[in-house]
Parts: sequence; structure tokens; C-alpha cells
Amino acid sequence: MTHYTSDIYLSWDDIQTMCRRLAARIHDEAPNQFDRILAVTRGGMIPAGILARELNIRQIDTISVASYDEQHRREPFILKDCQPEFLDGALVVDDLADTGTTLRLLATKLTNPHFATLFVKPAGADLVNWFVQETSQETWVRFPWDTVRQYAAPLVKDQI
Amino acid sequence: MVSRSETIIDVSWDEVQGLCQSLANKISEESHRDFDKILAISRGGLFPAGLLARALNIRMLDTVCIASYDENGHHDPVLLKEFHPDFLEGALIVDDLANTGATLRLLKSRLLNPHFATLFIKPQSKELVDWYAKETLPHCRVRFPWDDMTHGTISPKVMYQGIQDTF
Repeated sequence: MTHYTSDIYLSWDDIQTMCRRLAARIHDEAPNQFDRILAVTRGGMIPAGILARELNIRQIDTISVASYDEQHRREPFILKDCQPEFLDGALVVDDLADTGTTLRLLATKLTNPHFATLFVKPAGADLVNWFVQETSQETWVRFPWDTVRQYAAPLVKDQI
Repeated sequence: MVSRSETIIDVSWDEVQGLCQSLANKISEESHRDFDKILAISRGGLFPAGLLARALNIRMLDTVCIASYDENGHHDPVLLKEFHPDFLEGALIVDDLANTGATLRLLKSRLLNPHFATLFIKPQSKELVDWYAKETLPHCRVRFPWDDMTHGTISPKVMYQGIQDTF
């Protein structure tokens, strides 16, 4: 198990800005190369939706990877498969390349895949073609779909 | 009488998240079954589908891609990408807005026993939708945050320069 030593909290606007930067970079380096996006669920759903809108891509499919926990040897498998036409040449989108387990499995399954993520960590970075920000392996990236706004107590309280 | 003049509702990301939470509450309270599959109508339904899937702990997610708007407005819905056969029956179908209802009617004819959930409905599409978060006036325009201009005013070139700084 990873021991987390820091957090990054992201707002929805942060995500939208990051996705638009990622789209700009993909469009700059591979203009009009993709007409299909494969979203890795569930984390890739929101980034895939924003990228699809920015890059004017209308063909979107999903693929889901889960893992068996056989005495802590996490064996990944495809929980939900994509349509055959997404096996070759799709832009594969996820929120985070963490250990790289998910993307490594997809790299063996897909033909000539191109991976785009918002965040990469060192163990997953080598697989990713385009990303926006790198963090340490020990950083917990908190996406807005997993968090809620809530009351925060002020630093200095009333003296009653 | 409802005015025919167009009214506009601007929805923020935080509001989308809140609407999805209340929609998830309604579905889990009122549904007689637990859904284990979500079919998102792409592209607008991708966002609520992702949020509902998390709220309802559903891992099986698929898309069906339908085009029903062009630059001049509306046309008949066109199927661009089919859903996975496993989603033919028993999936929760999710979209951002049920406008005329044409997209949902097309899907209803292709699915077995579908249940529809949308963030917004209009009076003309209400009968098709099982669960929704909000109803709008008939001629209201709902603007979602994924189409918002705030960040789009930055030119792609500047955004690209920004990304290079972070590398």
C-alpha cells in the first residue's frame, strides 16, 4: 500500500482548465488525428467528455478495468469491453496514471493506443503520451467528483 | 401564460454535482430495483452519468452516441455509435437534458424496458423521463458548464504555452 504524504485538491474549474490545456496540446502535436475517444471509467468520464467537446470528437466509448485481489496480487481484468472499432487508433483518456496497471493492460489489448491523462505519477508516466501535471507517487489527487464543498472553521474563533 | 421569449439558465459545475446528488437520491428512493448498468447519452450525458455512477456505486458504464444538434439548431437524431449488447436491457439511461424528447424516443424504440434519468426536463419531454432533477419552461435554454466560455476565452496558443511551463 502506498503511504500518502500529501494531497492535491482540485476544483471543477481546475479540471476544466486542465482538460482544455490538454486538448490544446494534443491538437498542437496531433491535429485532427483522433475521431474516437475511449474513456477509462469511471475516472476518465469527465475528462473524456471535456476533451471530446474541445476536440470536436463525437465517437466516444468506455472501457472499465477492475482487479482481482488474490492475496494482494492485484490481477487486472476487463470488466466492461469497448466496441471493436475503438480497439485501434482511439485516444484513450483517464484522470490519473497512478501505478500504470490499468494502462499497461490496455496497452496490451489495444492497437497503437495513445494515452492522455490529467495527472501522472512516476510508476505510470512512461505509458502516457500527453498529460498536464506530474505528482509524486505519495500524493493523493482529490478530484472534484470525489469531494464535496463543506464548511471550514475559521482560524481564529470568537472569544465568548 | 408562459412567455415564448427565451429564458436562459446558467448551470455551474457545483450545481451539476448537486443536481446529480439529488437525482441519485430520488432514484435510490423511488426505484424498485438497484441498477447495475448506466448508459450515458454522449456527449451531454457523460457528465451526469459519471457522477451518478459514483453516487450509486455502478461500475458498468457504456455510451450511446447520438447527434441531434448542428450549427443551425436541431435535426432528427442520428445514431453515431451503438451501445454494447449487455446494455440492451435493464440499464439506467442518463442525459443532461430532455429537450424535445426525440433522442429518448429513438432510444426507447431500441431498448428493452429502459429507465431514463436527466438533470433537466421540459414540459414536452416530461412523460418520457422516470427521474429528473429540475423542470424548466418550454423555451428555456440551459447552458451547461462544459460549454461555458469563461476559460474558452484563453486562446489555445496561450493555453499551450501555459502547459509548457508546467512540464
